[in-house]
Amino acid sequence: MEEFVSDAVVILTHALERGYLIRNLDIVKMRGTRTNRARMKYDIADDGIVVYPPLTPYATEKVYTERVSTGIDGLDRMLSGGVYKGSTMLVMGESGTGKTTSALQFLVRGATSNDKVLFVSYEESPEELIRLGRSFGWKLEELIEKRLARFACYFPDPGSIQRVFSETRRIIEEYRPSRLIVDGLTSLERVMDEDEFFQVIRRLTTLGKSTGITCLATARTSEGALPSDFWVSSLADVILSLRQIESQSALRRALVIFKARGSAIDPSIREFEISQRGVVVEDKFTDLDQILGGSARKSARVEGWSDAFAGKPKSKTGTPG
Amino acid sequence: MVSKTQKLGIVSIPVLATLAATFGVFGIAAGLIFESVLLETILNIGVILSVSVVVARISAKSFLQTGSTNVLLLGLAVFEFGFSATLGGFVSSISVSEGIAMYEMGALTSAGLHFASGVLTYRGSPQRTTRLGLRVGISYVATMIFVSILSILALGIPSISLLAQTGSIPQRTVLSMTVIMLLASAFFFSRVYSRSHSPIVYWYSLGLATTSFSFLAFFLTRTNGDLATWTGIGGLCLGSVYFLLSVLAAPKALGARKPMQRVG
Repeated sequence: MEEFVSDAVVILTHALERGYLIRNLDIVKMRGTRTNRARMKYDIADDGIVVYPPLTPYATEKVYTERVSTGIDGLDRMLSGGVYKGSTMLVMGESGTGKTTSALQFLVRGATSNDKVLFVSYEESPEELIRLGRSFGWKLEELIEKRLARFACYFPDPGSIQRVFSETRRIIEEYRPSRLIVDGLTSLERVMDEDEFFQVIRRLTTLGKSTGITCLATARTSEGALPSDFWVSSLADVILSLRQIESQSALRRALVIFKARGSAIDPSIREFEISQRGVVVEDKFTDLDQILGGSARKSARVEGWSDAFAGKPKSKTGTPG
Repeated sequence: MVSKTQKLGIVSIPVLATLAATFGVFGIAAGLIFESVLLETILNIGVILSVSVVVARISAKSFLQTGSTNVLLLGLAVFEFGFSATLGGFVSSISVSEGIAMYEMGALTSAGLHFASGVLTYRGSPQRTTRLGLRVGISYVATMIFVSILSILALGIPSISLLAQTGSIPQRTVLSMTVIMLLASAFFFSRVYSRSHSPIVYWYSLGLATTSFSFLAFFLTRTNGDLATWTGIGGLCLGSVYFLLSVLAAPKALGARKPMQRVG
């Protein structure tokens, strides 16, 4: 009965989601006002109730033609000069393939070009990232001091995820970066339901197009995964896959660009090294087949030919390199 | 275990030797002369060059994988012969003698490279580990430049055409050296085969032996275009087929391998 006589009806509920009690707010009725019909989450913080509006995509405003360096020269060449400003690049790969290193390289290149870079990590603390950067000779502390780089690290759970987004949004509005790095999408995916996660990625990809912020996001995938295995990858403008492959009792690293909207790309599968200068792209593989199949193997004919004429190895000449 | 096809292949050696002796030494049907630059060009490009590119490609890839010098030399040897045979064919369209001279010089160089490859394969080859791509690129480009210089020399220095004069000492010298080096390299590869029993090496060794007997037929040629000449040309094509069979004997796919290990 109250619903008929009142001008506004707001229902507060809570529900158990993934082991966490999540508070929901529904505006059922708001006479004379256009309201958001989507369910919103809210929290009771120190300063009272905080409502987290649903993550809606940004309105797309501009298409940029300016190129932005990824920080990896060989990759820039494969991408015909880098990624477009305002685009979102997804770097996917197994654990240990160099995703975070690539992301830091993107940060360093941006910051040294006087671009402000925000690094949001869902897996590592700022101290860990600074230490990782130091191992490559990148003085991230200096970049932070100069306000050219900023780190925001969170370890989200279903109960805090909305607060994390709210905080991230606040930092973006306050810091106004030119480049945004989101390291660890997989950790986000784990604490969200599919629809929410899709909205987050949608918002991230439209953020760049709307504001000109070039985004790089990393996602951990399983061995031999293809873009289709990370179901939101279609939203990214550029998809880069990093892989580890076994060859002659050693692990080698491979890199391939699956997609780059509006760009001519080098489609070859190239070897890369994580050297003292970070990720360095090398030649394409000539001795291995089926790298993308997840079980790299030498070209059978070539291997057969090599074995047949192997004879007795005599000596090694030159230094490994 | 030697297959029936492999056994059949070895028959070509005595057949070639018999035909070379019949037409070259005994001069049977010596009056039958047939010269066709066009047909020779078609065979040079369609068979010899095509097969040489296939062998050169797999050898280059193999070198990139293993760094073994013998494999690189093997690829260069085949490619050099195929390329010089083709360029020789073009030179022949300008002047037959210079074309033949060019062909013979290319064959001699190729035989030398094969010999070096055979020795290294038999005795143990050095393996390079650095700048493999650069080495392959430079080697093949250098080979093409070398053969191009040979063709210019063949056209520019008249005395080189002496190599085309049947029975001349320069020609006999070049051809006999070619035959000996090819036979020696076939021997070395056959020794490697006796250790590994690889059909790849078997066909390769047989290809070299067949090519060697083809040049023996050229050595015994009385007049350009006689049946001994065509025995030699046929033998070269057959040798190329054996080289191709050698490539085809390499497995198309490998058996199941251990799954990759994950790290991190």
